[in-house]
Amino acid sequence: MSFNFFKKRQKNDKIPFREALPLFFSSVKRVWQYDKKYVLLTFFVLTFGTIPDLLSVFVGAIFNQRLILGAEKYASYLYVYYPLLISFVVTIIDGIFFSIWRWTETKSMDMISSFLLRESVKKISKIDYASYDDPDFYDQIQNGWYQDGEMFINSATTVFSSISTVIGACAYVSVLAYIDWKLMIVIFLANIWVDPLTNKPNRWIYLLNNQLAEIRRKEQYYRGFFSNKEMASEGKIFDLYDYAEENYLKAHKEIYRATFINRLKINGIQLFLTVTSKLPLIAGYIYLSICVYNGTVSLANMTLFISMYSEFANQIYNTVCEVSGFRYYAEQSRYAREFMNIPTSIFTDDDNTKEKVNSTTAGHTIEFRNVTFRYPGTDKNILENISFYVGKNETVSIIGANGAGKTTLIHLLMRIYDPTEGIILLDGKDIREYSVESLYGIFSVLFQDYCNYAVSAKESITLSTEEVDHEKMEKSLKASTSYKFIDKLKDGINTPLSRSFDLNGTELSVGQNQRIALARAYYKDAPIIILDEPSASIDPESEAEILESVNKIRGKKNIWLITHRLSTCVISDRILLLKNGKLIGNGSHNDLLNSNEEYQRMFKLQADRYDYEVVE
Amino acid sequence: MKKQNKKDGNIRLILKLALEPRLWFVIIIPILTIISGQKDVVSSWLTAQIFNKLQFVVGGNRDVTLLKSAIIFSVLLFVVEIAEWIISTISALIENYWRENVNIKLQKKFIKKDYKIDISDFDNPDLQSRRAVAQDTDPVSQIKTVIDFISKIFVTISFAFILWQYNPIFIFIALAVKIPTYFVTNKINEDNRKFNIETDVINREKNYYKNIPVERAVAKEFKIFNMKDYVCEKYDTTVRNYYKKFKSRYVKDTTNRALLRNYNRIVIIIVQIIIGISVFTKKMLFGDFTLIFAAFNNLTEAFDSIMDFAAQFKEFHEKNNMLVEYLNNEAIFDAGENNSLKLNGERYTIEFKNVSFIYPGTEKEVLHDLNMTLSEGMTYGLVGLNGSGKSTLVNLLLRLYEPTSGEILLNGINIKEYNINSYYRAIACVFQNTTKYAMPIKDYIASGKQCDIQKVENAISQVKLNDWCGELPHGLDTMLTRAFSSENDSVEPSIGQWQKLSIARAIYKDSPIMILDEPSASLDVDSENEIFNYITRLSVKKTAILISHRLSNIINCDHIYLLQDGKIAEEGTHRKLMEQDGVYAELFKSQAKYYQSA
Repeated sequence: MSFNFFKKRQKNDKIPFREALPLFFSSVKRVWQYDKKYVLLTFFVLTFGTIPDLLSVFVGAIFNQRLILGAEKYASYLYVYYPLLISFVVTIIDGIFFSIWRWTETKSMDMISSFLLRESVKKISKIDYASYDDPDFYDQIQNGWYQDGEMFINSATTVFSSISTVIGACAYVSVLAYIDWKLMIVIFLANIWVDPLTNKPNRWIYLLNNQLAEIRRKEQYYRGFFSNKEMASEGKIFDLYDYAEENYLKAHKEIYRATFINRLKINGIQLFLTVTSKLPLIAGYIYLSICVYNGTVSLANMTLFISMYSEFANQIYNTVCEVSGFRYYAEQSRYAREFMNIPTSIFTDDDNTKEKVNSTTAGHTIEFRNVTFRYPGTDKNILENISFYVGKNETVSIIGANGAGKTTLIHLLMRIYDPTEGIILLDGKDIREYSVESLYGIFSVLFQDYCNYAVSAKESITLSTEEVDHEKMEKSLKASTSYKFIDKLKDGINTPLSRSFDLNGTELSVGQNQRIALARAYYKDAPIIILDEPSASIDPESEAEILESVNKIRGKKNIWLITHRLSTCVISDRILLLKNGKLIGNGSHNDLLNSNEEYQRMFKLQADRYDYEVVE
Repeated sequence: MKKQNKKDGNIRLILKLALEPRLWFVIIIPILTIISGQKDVVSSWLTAQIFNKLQFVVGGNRDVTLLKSAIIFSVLLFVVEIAEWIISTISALIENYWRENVNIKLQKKFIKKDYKIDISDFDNPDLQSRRAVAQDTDPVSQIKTVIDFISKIFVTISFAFILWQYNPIFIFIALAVKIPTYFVTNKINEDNRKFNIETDVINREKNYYKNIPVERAVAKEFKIFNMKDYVCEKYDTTVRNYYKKFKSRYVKDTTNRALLRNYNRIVIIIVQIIIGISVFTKKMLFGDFTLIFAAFNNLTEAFDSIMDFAAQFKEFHEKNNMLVEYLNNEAIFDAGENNSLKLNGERYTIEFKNVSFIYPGTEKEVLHDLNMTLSEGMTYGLVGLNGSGKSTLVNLLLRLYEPTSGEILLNGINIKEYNINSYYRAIACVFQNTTKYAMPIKDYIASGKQCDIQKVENAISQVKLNDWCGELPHGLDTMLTRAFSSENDSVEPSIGQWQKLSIARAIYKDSPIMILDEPSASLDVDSENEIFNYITRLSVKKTAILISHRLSNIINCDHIYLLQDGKIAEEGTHRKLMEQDGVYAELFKSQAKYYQSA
């Protein structure tokens, strides 16, 4: 009997069996709805797959029995190897099943994975962005995210093999009881410990893993402290080696100590299990030897007992492992179910019954009415009582210090969050009354924390596998000044923007990645364009071009700019000046320069540096 | 010949790593392993004896000593089982302790090497993937495999001896039976290895698409750009490609495996039938039959593991090569560490002399025969378009790369000559991409060293973060990022705040040379103004280099260099450059025009 199980299984079964089964059936139902063929095939192969093993054990035992009785009982040797011939045929059939199974397994795993992914993706696109801020919710999202086909197949496998091991165990029990029922009771009593004692170490491992999860991450973090370019550079200049090593050793030693002690505890239990499972076997040997001596049991039956007993103990042990393995999968599918049921407040299920935003080129009006916002669970107002009106196709600049609430304001506008108080109106109607899917459709946005994707430049801009609209692509490349470096790449827009999956790929600089993200926003070509610090890492020449291109679409679209460069404000129709979450200025550049002290001060501060020459 | 030497060196390194902690491991573990390996031999023999004695009884010999010895053998069987368990558990515990000792040493070597390795090696994806393989090298497992191999040989000898007594021909049958298995297994393993290498990229890609949506950073774009279909489509395409590419070999592999599985079973059935005849005709005792049959089974199994060993050893060898290659990689840092020339003094003059630079593995010259002088106590502005070579110049000065030709002099001596640790102590730098570290603010500012709180507070207040720090739950001890702590004990700074923190860190370091690469990209108007004023004040004492796209930030520098295509195109004070009315003046005006119109 091997105890590898203790080492392998990481998680523990917290779910009682009676709850696990319905969970299993609900996940079967989910896949059944998707494709009945795969479910049937999986179950068919699994059920038949365990038969050959069971058969060959019995056949082997019968063979031994007949061998001992030998020529005295059987006229010909043929009678003895007859059972082996059955075994031979079964082996061939098993080989065929094995081949079918291996192929089916992988294929259905991937088919089911693909289906489950589609379902999970649909759900995750609806989950409130605010849920990502709450660590508990985020854990739930990560735990429940995407239960792949492997999980499903594995839990189906454990269900079916535990059924067949139970049947096997029953068969062995009846054979054992047939030999001697008293012995049977001893065996039963000896093996009763297996279930609780097997689960105990699992529980310890589970608890320990939970306890060590954070410190493990810490160990990994410090182990790879210089494993990327930036950290390796900074590490050298700021001499962080000793710090990283010290912290790594601290974390590592703590983990080692805890796991070693746990190991010793588990070894204790294992010793007990080994003794209790070996004792009945030895007792059986002694008892049956006496019986054979007395002539009450035949030698043939004794051999039958020996082979049946080891198989029986194995079956008991396997059943315990499989049931706890099954509970583990059930726990995983519970996470999945919880994930699918995460409540959403913005993208609700009745979304498609709501009115769609009428996306026109004529532009949209936007109004904030007494909008206040604070993050859920906090009491600090990020935005306080904001009211303003923006007309059709106006260009708006939002300015203010770091932390003034600029980015939050555009998050509210796009309904990534909902305001705590007040309402936002689009074309005179509360944005909450529109379908979210259509609302998201009218925004082209460059986030400050935009993402880089490890796909081709083309796909990173279009975020689609469909045919590219070349005219639109050219415009986007031009307006974002991406053309400057894209044209120099070997495969142009088809060049992968990462070397992770393709060595012909290229790694772009910060400024270049930002321009790709800008091109992405332009390519979407929605009526409202939002650019959060579009020129943070971009050189003056390209910055001028980007501003020029924004200038070109002025008046044709509703443009929102967040910026620290007040030069950008000059081309805006309206400037919103935020300070500590309050709107302290709202008007054109000239209005504010004449009437708003804070704006005057800020503008002068930047202008003075440029005015150097003018003043001279 | 040279290759041979290298191979020996690898084995020596592994042995050295594994045997350094305590030599007695190497004696005790093999002894324990060999003893516990013999368990199967002993218990098969004991079982056979029990059946033999009983068969005599059944045959009519009612001698009670036969029963007694059967019972004694049963008890011995139990003792052997338990003893084996105890021995192998003790051996596993010792092995665990041994592995711990060795691994920690290896990991320390790795961290040190990661720290020293040339930045240019990060651009080499091949080296990076070999590094990942090398990091998983486990010297103790390798030696344990050798020990297991030796133990298996002992087991083979024991069972071969048993079979020899019955009929030597069975030893040769056991061997012959394994020959086809050997080739098929080898083929399967080889195919698998290739298959894993080929599918590695596809699998990573599949996982990449699978995990995109759950990233917090992606969530917003995922919603606004409606990326649902795109992600699913990419995932499906990857899976489809996988099947298109590997269907035929998958079928082949499955057939091979099924054949192997059946072959092994059928061989056993045939052997059972052949030996069975002797028992049937009472030429052989049943106990002997079980012993011989067990011996045959175990012998074939032992042959399997001996054959596996060859493949495993090959794999170890490859891994060890990668390990040695990585650990012995000669880095700039290694050479610099051995220099005894230390920097002392407070002021430095830097000179670039005919410096050219090409990034390793590329062809384009990023810096071209560049000459410039940075005198002590002055502030220099460095401007130019994206890709003009500004950051490269800083990288060279920081000795993260070596110039392809030409030299960089510090106080007239090539920077290569200085001890690298003392050289780095003389430089503080604010990098363009601020890296987010998961550590307490205090540790971040003081780079994890014993710190002077007063000085940390001063640095924090220079970048106007003192109010922000004051509001944090644990002040300067608050953890940065949520990586290891709950939101009550940690803080997730904004991009602008990270930038300020990294400036504070450079201020704290208080080195005579200060380099700031685009330090204000995400800073607001007031912070930017304050920080540049501070740096300008600072320059009285230090040599400072400022890189900025906002030309207004550098007009107060003592001297400005304009880089264009890897060369100094214009230089001088702001006023001089404006009068020159060249590229600099044009760039400046393009930014200034919006303000001038005011």
